Formats: sequence, structure tokens, C-alpha cells
Amino acid sequence: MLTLWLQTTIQVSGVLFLSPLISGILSQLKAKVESRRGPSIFQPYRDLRKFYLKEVTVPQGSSLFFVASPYFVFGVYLLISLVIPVILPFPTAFAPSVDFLGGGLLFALAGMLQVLAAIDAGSNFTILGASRSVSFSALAEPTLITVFFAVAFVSGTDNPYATENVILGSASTYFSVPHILSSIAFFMLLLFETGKLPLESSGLMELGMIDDARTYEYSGKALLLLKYSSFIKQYLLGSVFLNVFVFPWGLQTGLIGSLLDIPIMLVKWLVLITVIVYIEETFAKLRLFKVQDYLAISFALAILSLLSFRLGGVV
Amino acid sequence: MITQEILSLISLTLLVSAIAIQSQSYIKPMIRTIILQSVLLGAITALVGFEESSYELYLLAVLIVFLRGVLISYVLEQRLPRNNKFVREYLPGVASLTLVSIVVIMLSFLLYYFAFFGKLGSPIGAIGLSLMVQGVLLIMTRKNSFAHVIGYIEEENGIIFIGLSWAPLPLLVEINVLLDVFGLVIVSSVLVFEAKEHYVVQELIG
Repeated sequence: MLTLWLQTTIQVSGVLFLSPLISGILSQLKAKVESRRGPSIFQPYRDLRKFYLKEVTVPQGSSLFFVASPYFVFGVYLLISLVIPVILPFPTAFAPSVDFLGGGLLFALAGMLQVLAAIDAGSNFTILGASRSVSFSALAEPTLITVFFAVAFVSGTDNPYATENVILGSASTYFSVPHILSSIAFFMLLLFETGKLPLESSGLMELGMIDDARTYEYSGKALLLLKYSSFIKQYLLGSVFLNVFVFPWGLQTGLIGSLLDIPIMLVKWLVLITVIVYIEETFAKLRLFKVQDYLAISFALAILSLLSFRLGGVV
Repeated sequence: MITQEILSLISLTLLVSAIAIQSQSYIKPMIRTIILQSVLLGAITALVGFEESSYELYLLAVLIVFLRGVLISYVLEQRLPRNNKFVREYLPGVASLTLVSIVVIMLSFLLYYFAFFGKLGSPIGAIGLSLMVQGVLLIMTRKNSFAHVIGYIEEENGIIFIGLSWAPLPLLVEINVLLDVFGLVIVSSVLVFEAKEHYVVQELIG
């Protein structure tokens, strides 16, 4: 029992440690490709420390919800990191409480809290970001759910750990058409949810912002929590993509094994980061209203993966 | 087993290409995609011919690739304006169009399931039916003559696919379907030359 709790602690602290690091490596590698010197890979940690030291300002007229929501959002993402296979390949202490769909609903809950807080802030710009994020999520959330349905159909269970094992054990499942299509759909969704370049450019281009615009009125510790949440969200979605969809191999079990899993996940992520940087450097940004088309295509692929499973004879 | 899997993979690629055509507003990529679709259909025909060791199906595959993949696309690309390769049709709602085509695919799968599956027992024919319906949808949603011809070709691809998956039809019938499209393309290339776009109430004017 103690071992299980230790391993759970390792998973959560691993997520907390790795998620800013991966963001740092991503921006450093991007800078290298663009022949810039770029920030250090530890820059996200320094940013978080800077936010910690700054004071919090709250817009006039906003309610308690504005102040409280970053804590809830951070808590929801921590909860998700307890229950899905992001570092350990076996169930942690809280894993039985939530399945795939529960994880998807928790992601949606965090997004909704952020949107409500952005509306509560009362600034035009945050409300613009909230409305964008909601109108695109109308296509993104069904994709997430449908992809999880497809995975559940393929593996016969909706527990992420069991799915991981099914895909680990059977090459014919791994190469089956529903799995391939749902992996592509999930990767397209991953690029959207983490705000990568063909869809959204975070940084100084404010007019193209979707998710970052929601946090515009925050400062200090509240901003720290929201930034950290977005790092964790990126880590969680990418790790699910790696561990459940594309590359479930290589994770160790046991107490020492779970400590080893952290560098192993980092190595897996390096591959994914390379792919993401390649995509970010080769594609131009889509116009904002084209994001819906992109999401509709990913939704279509997810539905097709369901249909292809129902065709029979495919798996 | 492996042949079966390759077959289902290619069949699904046909559906994906149908969606790609549906959401494409530029004409030239549409023509390229319909070429890809026809060549894939030829590959499926050859594969089924290999399974059943039937020389007629090999012949059909060669005819499909030659007529659809080479000749028709040549005729269509000749009709594109020389000085302006980037002919496009303004498409307002690609996202909703994609969703509509997904809904239509699901409906045609359901229709297939309730109407044909019990009698014929071949699940993969559903893709042929939905390909046909996608062609009809393409013709309905576009005003452009090129898109209409492409939609018609897609429809006929679906018919050949259904013919392959249910029961091998006599070769004469299959070739008739092919030549039918060929004749249509010659007629429609004149049509494309005469009127680039068609509107709903066109016949009622004048």
C-alpha cells in the first residue's frame, strides 16, 4: 500500500517537474531551428518564480470566482494527472475513480472554469478569447470524446491503463484502421489544445490568440497557477497520445522503475517535441475562421474510425 | 487476412478522399484527388482479382486506371483555364460541409445496414454506398461544372465498388459503367466549356 502511495507521489511530482521543462525544451529547440540563441530550457521555471514574486491585481467589478478559479483549474489538472497513465504504466492510487470519459470531462470542466473566469474579468479582450475558445471547443470536445469511444471500442475497455496494455500486447490492434484514424484525429486535437502554430500562435501576435487570451487579466500567483496549468495540460495530452495511442512501450514497473519512468517519458517526449517543432516551423498560421475547418476534419476522422470499427472485419 | 486488411485500409482511404474532395474549394486538387480515388479503386479491383484469380477483374482494373486515372483527368485538366491554374469556388462553410458529409456517411451506413446487409452479408459494401451518396452531395452543394463532373465520377466509383463487394458482375456491365462515365465526360467537357457555373433556377430564365 505504501509503495502504491509512493508511486502515486512520484507520478504527480514527475508531472509537476517535467511539464515546464518540456515547454522549455520546445521553445529552445524552436529557437535553434530559427537560428536564434533562444531562452534556456529552464526559462519556464524562472517565469513561474517571477510570477510567484509579483503581486496579484484583480479587475474592478470582478467577483470572487475570478480569484478562486485558478486554484480550481490547477486542482482539476492535478486530479487528471493522478488518474491517467502519464508516467506510470500501472494504475495509481486514485486511478479506479475515473475512466477515459471521466478524464475528458475533467478537461472540459477546467476549460469551462477558465472561460467563466475570463467572462467574469469583464475585459473585452478576455471575453473575445473566451468566445473564440468556446466556439472552437464546440468541435474539439466531441472529437476528444469520439476518439476515446474509438479507443474503447478497439480495446474493449474504457480504462486507459487497460487500453495501454491491449495496444502493447497486440500488433494487429496497433495497426488496425480504427486505431490509426483515431491516433491521427487525437494528434490534430493535441495541436489545437496545446495552441501550436498552424492554429494558434502564442506570443506577441495577440489577434491570433485563442487560449492565452483568456488569462490576460491575471497576474501574480493566479497567473502562475494558470501558466502551470497550461504546461500540465500540454504534458497530459501529449503523454496520453504517447502512452495510449502511439508509443506505449518502454515504461518500467516497480518502485525504482517508476523513478526511471520520468527520464524515459522525457526521452519519449523529445521525439514528440521534434515532430511538433517540425510542424510548427513548416506550416503557416491558418486564418482564425479556418480553425473550425481543421477541427471538423479531425472530428470527421474520429467518426470514421468509429464507423470503420463497426464495418466489421476491420479489426 | 492481410489482403482483407489492405482492402479495408484502401476502402477507408476512398472515404477519406471523398471527404477531402468535399472540403476542397480549389478545382485542381479536386481533380488530383479524384484521380487518386480512381487509382485506388483500380488497386482494389486488382486485389479482388488476385483473391479470386479472375483475369476479367485484372482487365477491369487496367481499364479503371487508364480511363479514370489518365484519360478523364487529362480531359478535365485541359478544360482548366490556361492563364489561371488556381480556379476555385468560394466555399463559405467548409466545417459545416464536412460535418454534413459525415452525417450523410453515417446515414448511408445505416441505410446499408438495414436494407442490404441482412441479405448480402458483406459489410464493406457500405463504403461503396456512402461513396455514391458523397458524389450526389458534391453535385448538390456546388455550382461549379467541374465539381459536378467530379461528383458524377465519384458516384460511378461507388457503383463499381458496390459491384465488386457484392457479387462480381459480368465484365460487360462493369465496362459499360466505365464507358458511360467516359461518354459523360466528353459531353460535360463541352458543358464545362459552355457554362462554368450552374444555378438552381437557371432553366426557368428567359
